[in-house]
Amino acid sequence: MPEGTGALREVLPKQGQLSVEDMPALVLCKPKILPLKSVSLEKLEKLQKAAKDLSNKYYSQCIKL
Amino acid sequence: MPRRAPFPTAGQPAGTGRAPLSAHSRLPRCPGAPPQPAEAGPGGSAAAPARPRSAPAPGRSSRGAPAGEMGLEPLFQAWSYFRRRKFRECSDVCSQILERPPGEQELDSEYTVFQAAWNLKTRALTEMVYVDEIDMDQEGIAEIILDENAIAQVARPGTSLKLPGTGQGGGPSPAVRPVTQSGRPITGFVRPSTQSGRPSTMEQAIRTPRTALTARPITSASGGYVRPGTASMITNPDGPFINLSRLNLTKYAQKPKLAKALDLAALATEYAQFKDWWWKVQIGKCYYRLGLYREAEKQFQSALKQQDMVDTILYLAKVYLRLDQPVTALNLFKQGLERFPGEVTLICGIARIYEEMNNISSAAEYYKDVLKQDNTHVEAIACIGSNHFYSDQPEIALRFYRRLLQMGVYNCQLFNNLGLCCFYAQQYDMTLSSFERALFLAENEEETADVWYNLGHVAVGIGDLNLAYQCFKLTLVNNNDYAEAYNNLAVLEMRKGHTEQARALLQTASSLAPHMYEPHFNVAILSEKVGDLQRSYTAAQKSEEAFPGHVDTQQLMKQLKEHFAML
Repeated sequence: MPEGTGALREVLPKQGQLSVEDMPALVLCKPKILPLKSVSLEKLEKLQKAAKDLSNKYYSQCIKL
Repeated sequence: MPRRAPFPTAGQPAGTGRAPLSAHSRLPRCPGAPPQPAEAGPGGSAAAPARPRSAPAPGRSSRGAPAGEMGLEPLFQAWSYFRRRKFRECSDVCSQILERPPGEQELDSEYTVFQAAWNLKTRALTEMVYVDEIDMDQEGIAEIILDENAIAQVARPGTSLKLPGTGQGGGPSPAVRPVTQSGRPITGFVRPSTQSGRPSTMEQAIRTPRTALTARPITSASGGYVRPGTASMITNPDGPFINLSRLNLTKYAQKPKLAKALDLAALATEYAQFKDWWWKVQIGKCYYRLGLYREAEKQFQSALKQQDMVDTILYLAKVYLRLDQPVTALNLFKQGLERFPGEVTLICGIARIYEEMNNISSAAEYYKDVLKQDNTHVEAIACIGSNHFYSDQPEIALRFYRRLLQMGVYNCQLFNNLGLCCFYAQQYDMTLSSFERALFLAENEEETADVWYNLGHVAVGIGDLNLAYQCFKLTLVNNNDYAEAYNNLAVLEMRKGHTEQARALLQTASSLAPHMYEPHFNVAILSEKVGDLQRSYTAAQKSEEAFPGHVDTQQLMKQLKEHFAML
């Protein structure tokens, strides 16, 4: 059920409860749904990667000289 | 736009000095082939005019042999490369054509060939780097901070993209859905313009990881063609030889050259006596790039008055969004929808704006509308899928992601999402193989880190804490700044009883990601257990800032306040 506002309310018995203990537990970060990339973004990244590789190549060549 | 024939007209006489038809048994050559060693058979020049210009059978061009061997007219060869999307080869052949000296032919036809080759080359170069301009929306850090276009200092809630309205959308809370740096929940789809939102301080801006999305691609070869373009345009009385490709080319050059693009566009508009909507749009785009948003808006408005086009509406909406006026953009889209009912890009635009404003329920509604019109729209499917996942409906999310798979989307993110949905929908057979595939398809370390992180969650879910520990460690190996992994490792360490290590990890997590409430809350709990109430209180405050609706934080704060009141 979605944790909507007041979608479900807990029903606690008023009688017969001896003790209530609420240990605050550490929370985990949530699983991540990865966003899909658009075609433009992929193309951009590909171009930029190519440019970067090219510049790295030239840089390493310059270093060698 | 009238399409110019890519090869010279048939008026060229045979005795032009070009290689005559060979008497070989080789495939007959079109008379336009580059100068061959003189193999002139006696029947050569007589036969030449008999062959029509566009002789080479289309079938042969697909073999891809170089122009000389196959005897193809080089311009035709270049054209066929272009059609087959081999842009680099096309531009190389065009360069060859252009480098050839004009020779003794008639100036007129040679000029035509020259123009055609040049046109083709620019188009090829543009196609290599062309990105849909409507999606391109990169804001530099300086542009954001030094933004002078602010309409009001403090925007009313729900009307600004910079301050997303809190919880008016009724979507899943940060208790369930991870949140990005700007406080917005993670979306299902990312485009060039969805960066991590606009940072509010300079410090945050610098810290925002800008993963290689800052540099613009520069094609240096194209720079040289700008000047011939301008020159030829001015001398050429029939202006519309210019086409979109050339303008994009000029714009993708560096900023100083942008001024040239603007000159070009302004000149053309003047020439067209301000009646040509297309040039107004181009000027508007130049202004947009230069940051002059109000001028851009004027241009687009006037272009819209002249001619209703969906693209103009989209560009104008981009301007409004950059001016931080999402409501205006929304109204614009809605008006556009009246004129273009059912237009997918407009509906999608509305949905994106709602998502940016944190109004998830309206966004979901509009994405569903998009799907009614076009049920293969990847963005809509992905967003609805992620909404369902975070609304505790992984089976429905699974259906959506399966649809994407059926459509042929095949990348790391999709398999990761499939794995997660399978696991939470209790289809355990598919889970691990999906994750394996995701790992295989990951293109860089960040994607790998994401997949390992989610695998860690799966491990926690099945109770294998050792595996979870290893997965989170692997996440950190691939991406040292993964705050969520640090937080989860801290939780695991706490379970083992290593309090100090947990605290150190939480420290790292909270400094890496101050917008996340989990590390702060965990620090608060830890400190309270140990008795360090002051630290606990400050951490709890930070957690409340990040996520005001967290019940446990509120309870903790209440407890602490009671303690302090007693003292």
